Amino acid sequence: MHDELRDALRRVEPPDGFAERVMRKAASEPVRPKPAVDAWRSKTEWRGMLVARLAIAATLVITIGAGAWYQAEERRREGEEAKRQVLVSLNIAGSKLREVQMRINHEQER
Amino acid sequence: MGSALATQFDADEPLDFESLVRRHQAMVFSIALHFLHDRSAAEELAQDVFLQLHRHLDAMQSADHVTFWLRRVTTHRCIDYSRRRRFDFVWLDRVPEPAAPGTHTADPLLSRRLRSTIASLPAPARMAVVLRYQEDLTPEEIARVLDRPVATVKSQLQRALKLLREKMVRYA
Amino acid sequence: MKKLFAGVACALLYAHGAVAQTVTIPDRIEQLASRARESQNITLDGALLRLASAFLNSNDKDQKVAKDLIANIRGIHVRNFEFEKDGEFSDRDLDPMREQLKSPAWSRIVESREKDAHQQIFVRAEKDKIAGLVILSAERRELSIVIIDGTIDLKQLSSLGGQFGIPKDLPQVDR
Repeated sequence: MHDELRDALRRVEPPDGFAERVMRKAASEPVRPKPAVDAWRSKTEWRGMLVARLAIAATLVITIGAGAWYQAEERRREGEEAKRQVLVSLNIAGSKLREVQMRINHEQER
Repeated sequence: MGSALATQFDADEPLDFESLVRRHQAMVFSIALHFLHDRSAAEELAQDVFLQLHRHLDAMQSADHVTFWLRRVTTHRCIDYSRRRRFDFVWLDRVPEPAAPGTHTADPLLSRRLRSTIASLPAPARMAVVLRYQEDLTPEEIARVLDRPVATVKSQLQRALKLLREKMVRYA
Repeated sequence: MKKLFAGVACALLYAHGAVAQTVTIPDRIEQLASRARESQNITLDGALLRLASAFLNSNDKDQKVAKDLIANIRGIHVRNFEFEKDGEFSDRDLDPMREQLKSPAWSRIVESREKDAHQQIFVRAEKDKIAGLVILSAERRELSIVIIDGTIDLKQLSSLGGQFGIPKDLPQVDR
């Protein structure tokens, strides 16, 4: 059985052009900038960066409103979860329908 | 990352993404194919795995790390996919056969039947079988990939083989 | 699918036009979750369905079908339990639900009974349309209940996520 299993489960190559398709998709993804760790050469620069970032963050908070952002994020999470539940529930319903039909077809053939 | 490791990685096996895809595409695609028994789903999943590798390329430390990472991500994605889609009914006898052109198998009909039967195993046991017999991993290695205790993997393999034997006898 | 839709046609023909009736899931069923190896417990009311609809991607084939399907649905309830071993529940556990479905508003359009499986589909008709669907499925180690309140297209529903148009020459499937 072991040899037969190894035989049956040999690796197979994906369809032609697979690597090219992957490369094309990878090329079309936005490039994430690497963290500029090397640029922080001194404490002064680091402190300067920190102050700048805090100022930007404070401005954003004032402009957008932390509460509104949180609500939007919560809404998005709820929406994605609701979508997932809809898809799961319709999948269960659809498969049960097909199962019943399959059994009936079997009975008819007997 | 230590410079010694980086040098070794660069010297033995290039880190460039395209080389990694070409080197590992059969492994990733085959794990997905033998687990999902669905060629187009396997291709889509395999593509997603490589795109994820592309995003995390900086974190790869060695050739072995890439192999382990790819196996781990592929298996977990397969299991997640099967949980989401497991209410799809798969007509096992109608799934196009995955054997690549030029692949020689001792008994093609037996292989075909085995692959169908494997596809009917419960997901955890199915993946253990694929990793054991496609990738030739030991139970300890399978346990690391799947994040499960070794004892669980061994018992899943034992049960899977028993189930496969019973089903194959029924078909004979 | 012909027999299924013939059943639906009969239900529509003899629709009593009764007031919409919801079906409740008994506590005994809800409690099965604690013994199940895996379970899905989904309750979606109109508000959640509308929210979900906004997030369903019309460019994805399956999601588009789902979006169309739920457009006229008011609620979905699903309970699906998978058990480690036999005997964790009995087909009779579904009797309280079957009692509710004996009301004139509901018609049983399909029933399949085998040694290890009992499956039934009920519909509620309103003005020549299906306004409610209940699927009860009891197998050896899996119990499933689906309740859909609202106008539903059975053909579209059964096409979701799998092959549509079930062939006559079915392969033997091990259960």
